[in-house]
Amino acid sequence: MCTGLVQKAKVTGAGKAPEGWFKLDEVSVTYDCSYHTSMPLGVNIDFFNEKEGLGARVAVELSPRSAMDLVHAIMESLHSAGIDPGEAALGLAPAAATSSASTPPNRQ
Amino acid sequence: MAHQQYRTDMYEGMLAETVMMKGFNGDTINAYFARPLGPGPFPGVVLIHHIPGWDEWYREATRRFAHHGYMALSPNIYYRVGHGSPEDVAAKVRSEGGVADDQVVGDAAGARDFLSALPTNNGKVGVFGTCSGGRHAFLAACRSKGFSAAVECWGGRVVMAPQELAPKTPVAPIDYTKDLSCPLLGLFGQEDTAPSPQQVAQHEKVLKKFGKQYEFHTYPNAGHGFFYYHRPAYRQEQAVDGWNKVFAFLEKNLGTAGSS
Repeated sequence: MCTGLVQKAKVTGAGKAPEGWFKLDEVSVTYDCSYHTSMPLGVNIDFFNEKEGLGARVAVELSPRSAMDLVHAIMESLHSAGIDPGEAALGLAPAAATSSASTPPNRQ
Repeated sequence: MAHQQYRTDMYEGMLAETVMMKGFNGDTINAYFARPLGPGPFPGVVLIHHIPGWDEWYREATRRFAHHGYMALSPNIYYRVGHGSPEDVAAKVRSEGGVADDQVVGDAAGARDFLSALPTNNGKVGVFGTCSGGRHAFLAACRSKGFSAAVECWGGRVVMAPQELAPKTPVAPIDYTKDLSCPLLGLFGQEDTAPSPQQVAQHEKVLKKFGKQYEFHTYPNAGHGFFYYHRPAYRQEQAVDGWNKVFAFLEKNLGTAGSS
């Protein structure tokens, strides 16, 4: 890796790959070489389910600005739904409303 | 101008295929092997692939070396993660923080031994890599004796801050500089951030300090990955000159087809 910047978290939810929807169990966020954008380095987000194989992956590559906009949009969405983002991150919000990160990210 | 001189009446042939080889810890892994046909002897080159994985560009680069008269072997350093599209495999490796330096050095040494054991090898094997593979090429040339030349293309994290060190990367490659056992060619882009021009300067300073044989070229108007013709980072003029420098350097240090 050219930067070595990795964050990972366990997640609960579902993602759509070419073969259809699958359950997600992990997300990794790296700031490293991107493959499909004009940026040499980008914020690469990969959702996985290890049990489903390496092809069970939902990927996005974002510019740093876009990644920050995404974070802001997620936080605004949670706020609009009356979910305290701090509680959501700790898994304290009502079960019906929490389908995002359930554990704090870890620096690899 | 490429260094392999062609005539329209000369015979040319190449065999390129996937093979199995012994890597780190005696593990069997697969590798892409391209070599010229003919009696040789041929110098060898080990290609350590980049973070996007053991992909089409690395297969093409492996054949390119064979086209220029080298027995070229590119080990799949992500073999142990499993199999799928190169991009999916690479994403998994990336999520795990990359592969361990010890493992890559072992795989590179295994690839070198694979080539040097062949009767058509001229007794010399070099190592080449881009991006993370550039870092690994430098690392392999420092930590494993037996390479006769190393080519490091824009290797990020040769210089590492203490807080960047991790179980898989416990020592910054620059700290192995004193053990570099062969001449080094480094190609970099002035607009790159990993490695930055400041990190390249630091890398060079330590090479000088230990009296190592090296040549560094930093290209203006180029960033990370300026050889990659399929990426916006491609810079035609710099890439052509860079490839010419690679082949001139290898010819000088490894010899050419038919020489021993």
